[in-house]
Amino acid sequence: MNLNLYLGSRIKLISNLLLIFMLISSLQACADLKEINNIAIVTATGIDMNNEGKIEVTIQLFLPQTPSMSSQSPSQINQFAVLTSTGDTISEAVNNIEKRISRQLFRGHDRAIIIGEKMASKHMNDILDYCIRFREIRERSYLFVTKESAPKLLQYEPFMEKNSGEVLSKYVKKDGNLSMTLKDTIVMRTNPSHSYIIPMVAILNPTKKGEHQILKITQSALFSHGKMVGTMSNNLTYGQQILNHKFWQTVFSLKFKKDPGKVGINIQNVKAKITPIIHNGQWTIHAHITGDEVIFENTTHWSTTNLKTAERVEHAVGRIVSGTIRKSVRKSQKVKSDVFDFYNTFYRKYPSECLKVEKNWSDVYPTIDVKVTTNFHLIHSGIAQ
Amino acid sequence: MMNWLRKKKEKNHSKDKIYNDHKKVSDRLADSEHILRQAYSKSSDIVIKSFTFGKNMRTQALLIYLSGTVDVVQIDEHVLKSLHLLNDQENDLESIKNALTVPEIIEVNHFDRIYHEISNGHPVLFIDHLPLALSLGLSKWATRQVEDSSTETVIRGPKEGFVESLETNTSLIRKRIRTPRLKIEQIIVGKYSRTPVVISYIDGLCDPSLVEEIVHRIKKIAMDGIFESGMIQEQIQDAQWSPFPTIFSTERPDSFCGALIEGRAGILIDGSPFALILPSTFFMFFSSPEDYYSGFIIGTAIRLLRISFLFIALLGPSLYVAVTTFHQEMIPTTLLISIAQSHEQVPFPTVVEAILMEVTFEALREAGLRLPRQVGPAISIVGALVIGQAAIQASLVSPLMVIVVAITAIASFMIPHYDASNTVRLLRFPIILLTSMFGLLGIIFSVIAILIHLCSLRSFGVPYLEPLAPFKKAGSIDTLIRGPLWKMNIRPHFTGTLWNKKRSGK
Repeated sequence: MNLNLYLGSRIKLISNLLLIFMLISSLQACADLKEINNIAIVTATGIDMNNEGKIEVTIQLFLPQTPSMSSQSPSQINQFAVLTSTGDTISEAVNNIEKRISRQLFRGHDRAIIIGEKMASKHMNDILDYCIRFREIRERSYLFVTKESAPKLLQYEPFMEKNSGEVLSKYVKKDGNLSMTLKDTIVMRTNPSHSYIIPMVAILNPTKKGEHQILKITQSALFSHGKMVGTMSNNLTYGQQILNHKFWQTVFSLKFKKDPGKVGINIQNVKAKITPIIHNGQWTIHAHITGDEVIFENTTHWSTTNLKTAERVEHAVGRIVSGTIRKSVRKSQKVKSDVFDFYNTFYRKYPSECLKVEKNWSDVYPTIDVKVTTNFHLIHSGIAQ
Repeated sequence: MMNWLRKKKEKNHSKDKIYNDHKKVSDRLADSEHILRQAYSKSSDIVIKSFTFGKNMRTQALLIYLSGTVDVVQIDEHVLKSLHLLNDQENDLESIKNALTVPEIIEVNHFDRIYHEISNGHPVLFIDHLPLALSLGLSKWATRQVEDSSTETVIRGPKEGFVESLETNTSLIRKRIRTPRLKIEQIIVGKYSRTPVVISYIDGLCDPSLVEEIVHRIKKIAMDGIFESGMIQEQIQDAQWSPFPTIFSTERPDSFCGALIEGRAGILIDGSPFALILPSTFFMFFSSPEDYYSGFIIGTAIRLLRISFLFIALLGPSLYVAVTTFHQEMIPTTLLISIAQSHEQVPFPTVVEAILMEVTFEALREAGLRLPRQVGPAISIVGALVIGQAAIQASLVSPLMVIVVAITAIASFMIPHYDASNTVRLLRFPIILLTSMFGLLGIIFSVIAILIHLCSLRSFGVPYLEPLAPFKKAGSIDTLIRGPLWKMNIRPHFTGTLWNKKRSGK
């Protein structure tokens, strides 16, 4: 009898739970469900401004096509589509695009956000605000600025990857290239002059017959107070990267007065030790750069095993590196864009002084003196002696 | 209606009377013969042999047995011939018992006991004037040879498995634990089947109250027949409403003896090669006897692999459903693109696809099990078509789904214990359903629910997740990992006050 009672209550409990489960499952209607057949995967976005002052948004969509069994060349098929629409705000323009297609846009795989120069020079804050606020766009998306039209860049058919969005996201990950994700930009923007740097891309037409069009980072855009204020060449961007500890390695050639030959040199493992000093009202940055060098090529008459040659090469490299850094700083000081994050460097050591000049940091920044010392070591001269 | 029922009941009752279950054996042979002939009427396999013995053939006797269960040659040799050599005066119990050259002679005097002995294959000898019968241990049952266990296979390890005969099984245990401390207690279960069930434990290692509790629970079983240890397991285990088995069953004498030496108790029943071990904890179901034979580094690596695949077996399809229908941003872009491409032609939502494939696979597995052995290969051919290339070409499912189902299947085959593997197979489906509604949240809900449930389970007083939750140092290195044998020098403690803590040798 007791056992029966016990079983009865158990069955009742279980049936009640089942009933609740069924009711709940009919209530919630699969809230966030996005079937993969119903989403349009956005691989890159372009944001620009047209001549009437309206915002023009371009998206690059992946077109899912089942690779048919008969034709064995899926790479021949155009696997992406580019759509453009305008609106008063970015979200309105995106919405206008979404209205035209049968599926819901999915931005979780938007790897590259390309910003037109016109938009960058006026409304950069709006773009950052939109990208951070919209939850589908990931903070790991890469930002780019372009002088060309965004649709043209997105329509570019690369010869190595599936689409231009993928090209860009892979390209910036390579050594030596400036890569700025949404997160990096927002972190860098915390300085009082709201300065940051974003790589600029362009399509380069082939210089020789038979060569393919390439998509390339040509220079870097400097921003201050939410506006693009200037550009910096790739070479000078190395200076910015070294001082921000983001430089890894590059190859360049050295010329010497005493010898007609050249030395192809690779610098790597570059480290910067930065010491801010405020002395008698003069703000100074002492940067001590160390690194290793490897000789890749030697067409001079000097033996690379010779200690004197090593000294010469080390000295020459040091001169070039410190020159690049100095020029790079001067360029950014000219447009008052603190892309070296000097404010935070000073703030760590002199917080009260920094807080005093926080309001007019844009005026203080150009007066900062940068002193560079270098210490490079030739660690390897190649196998051939 | 009630009257009719009552009548029927009475009729049944009166029918029982002819068996004279509680009657004692009288000293008149004719009475006994009458009762036996009545009881075994309409039984063609009963042999009732009346004969006289002694020099002048004065003493009457009766031998009764079931044909096919006794060794006829030995009856002839050791019973009939020996009795014929007796003098007429030697018809008292002592001299007859001495004359019989049979090692096992039991005196029985109640008829229910006599029926039991006859059913056990013991020929029963009745002698005139004697108010008792002699049961002779001359049974000879048809039994299977001791073979390699078919359900728990190992590469390295003993190749002996339990068989259906209880005597053989107990001998297999005695062969491994050669001490009188090994106890084998018998209980008869089943009103009609009268199945011998033995409880085996090591005196001094196993908690006496545990044995008491087991005996108590087995005695409470009210069933007409017990044919498999699974029927006992279902009735004596603690959490009868749980999908998780809380009693471990094994076909291997080595893992059975290993458990006895840890201080657990075992149950063996006649007619089933599956022995029960209790109390049993969660991690027993995910370890194989081979873990202990192949070195602790390999053993640990394989155990970790098994545990990680347990999660795949449980959550594989649900993770796929969650990630492809709720959290596409979690997949690498290239993979998402290929998933999107392969899914373009599929007509169903991913959930339907997943459930379809999983159910098909389970059906295939079940069909493969139930199929007569001769047609076995047919199912693998058809199966490969159903959940393979053909299904993809017909755009019924996406290739990735097939991979997911295949990995899940492999993972579920990796679970060494069949009952536990069934539990995981069963739990997979509600998790898929929950996931299809809540995404990863559904997975987390279900994992939490399962975990809470596991924490609430007990097996004969021992928490199911024991050495880890609640944490106990003894035995904790034999759970997710398999520690070196020389580190397992403390015997785990289960329940009660008896704890023979130190393992010998240390």
